Amino acid sequence: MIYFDNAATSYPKPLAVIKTVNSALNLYGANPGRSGHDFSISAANQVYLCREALDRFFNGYGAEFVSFFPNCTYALNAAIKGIIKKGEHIIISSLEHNSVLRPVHKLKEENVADYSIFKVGKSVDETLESFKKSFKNNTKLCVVTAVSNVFGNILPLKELSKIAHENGAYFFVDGAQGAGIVDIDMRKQGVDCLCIPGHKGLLGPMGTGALLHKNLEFSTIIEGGTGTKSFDYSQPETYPERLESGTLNVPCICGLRKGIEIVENTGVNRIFAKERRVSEEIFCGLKNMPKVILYQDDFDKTCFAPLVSFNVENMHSEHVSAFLNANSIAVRGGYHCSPLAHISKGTERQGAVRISPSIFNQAKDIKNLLNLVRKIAI
Amino acid sequence: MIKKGIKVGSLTYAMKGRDLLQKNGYKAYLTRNPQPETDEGCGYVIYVRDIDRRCFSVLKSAGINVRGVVDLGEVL
Repeated sequence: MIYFDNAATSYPKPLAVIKTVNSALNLYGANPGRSGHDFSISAANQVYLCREALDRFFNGYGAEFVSFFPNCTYALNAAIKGIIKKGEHIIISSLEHNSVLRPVHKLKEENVADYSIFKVGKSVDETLESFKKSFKNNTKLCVVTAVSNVFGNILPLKELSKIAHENGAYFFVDGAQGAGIVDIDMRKQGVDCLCIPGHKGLLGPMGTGALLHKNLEFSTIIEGGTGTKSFDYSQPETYPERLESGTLNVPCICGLRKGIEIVENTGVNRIFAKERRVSEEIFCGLKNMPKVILYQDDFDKTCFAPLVSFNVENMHSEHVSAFLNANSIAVRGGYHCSPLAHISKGTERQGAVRISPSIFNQAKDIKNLLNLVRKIAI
Repeated sequence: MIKKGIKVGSLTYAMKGRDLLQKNGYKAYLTRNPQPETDEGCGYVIYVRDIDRRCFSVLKSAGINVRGVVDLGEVL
């Protein structure tokens, strides 16, 4: 099988990550932050080391402001619903995933908050202009994705955050597709809260996600045991425990730390460059096929992350994906849980075939993929 | 000699404090608070050998709130 679906989850996981998860089940098998015995403290130490790694990797605001979640969607829900109060307004981009759109829409359905969608344009200026026009007097929060999971657009975080802050709003980032692929620096880019998955660009196992923030006052959407202040019926105010009720996924958190180490040692820029080369080769190969429709006009590397979405004439993207799957190539067709992105490109009817490579793809993978698409696209 | 532990708000702060104190030359370890009170934080304390005023400044400078000092007695 040739795997080109790394935007869904990265595969294969590095052997070191697999070994770390396996050994952590034995070595750190106690419940962290609950008991006082050495076994429990050593598990808690491992969790803390991963908080530190994430904080370092994203230039965050301290390990205590890194809370773990089962995935990026949970983290986004906690962040969005935790910060918004009745009567406030939210701005999101036209490329948001349902993990942002649905929590925001739910707040609207419940008459808690309203939201606006700004259009990500072909140029940064166009995007910023549209963003500026979306503010209202009661805008409290802006949530944008670092990278579109469908078309790979890289959003200008620094410029957007500046505008958000000038308008008195928080700036939250969905790092689902960006973390480990493009540079995300919370302090330099003015990110107040960053939500990330552990299992995509950071090469960790599934079941890991995190919320990093700038010591914000979040209300909670989940309450329960934290191992602290047991006689207090209210959720503790101290981070990160305030946002973390219940037992943490220690083995996978250990694996995530190993994944981060691998990404750090390899270098985000090197990973980006390698995946870009693969994507560019695929993009250029597809461009020469008359029946192929591409959506990234010039594939400028400053604007697009390493993924390519396409269609073959009027064929539904799921049919193209099924054809590739029948020939042992894994890609993702359909709508990628991102209706807004498809609406913005006019691909609501057929969706798009998304090819998302990793550093592990080789030249022969590209050749095989292009040869197969050629069979249906010439 | 009676051993003392420093109480902070959470286990994460306790770990951060422990690492910080170690970097500043203290021998610091984490242990369970043997005398927890119902309204207290995480239930863990930082045991510091040779506790002095400076170690409180080190913690404070990193934004770690010290919530008191507890007598660890013969636990360690």
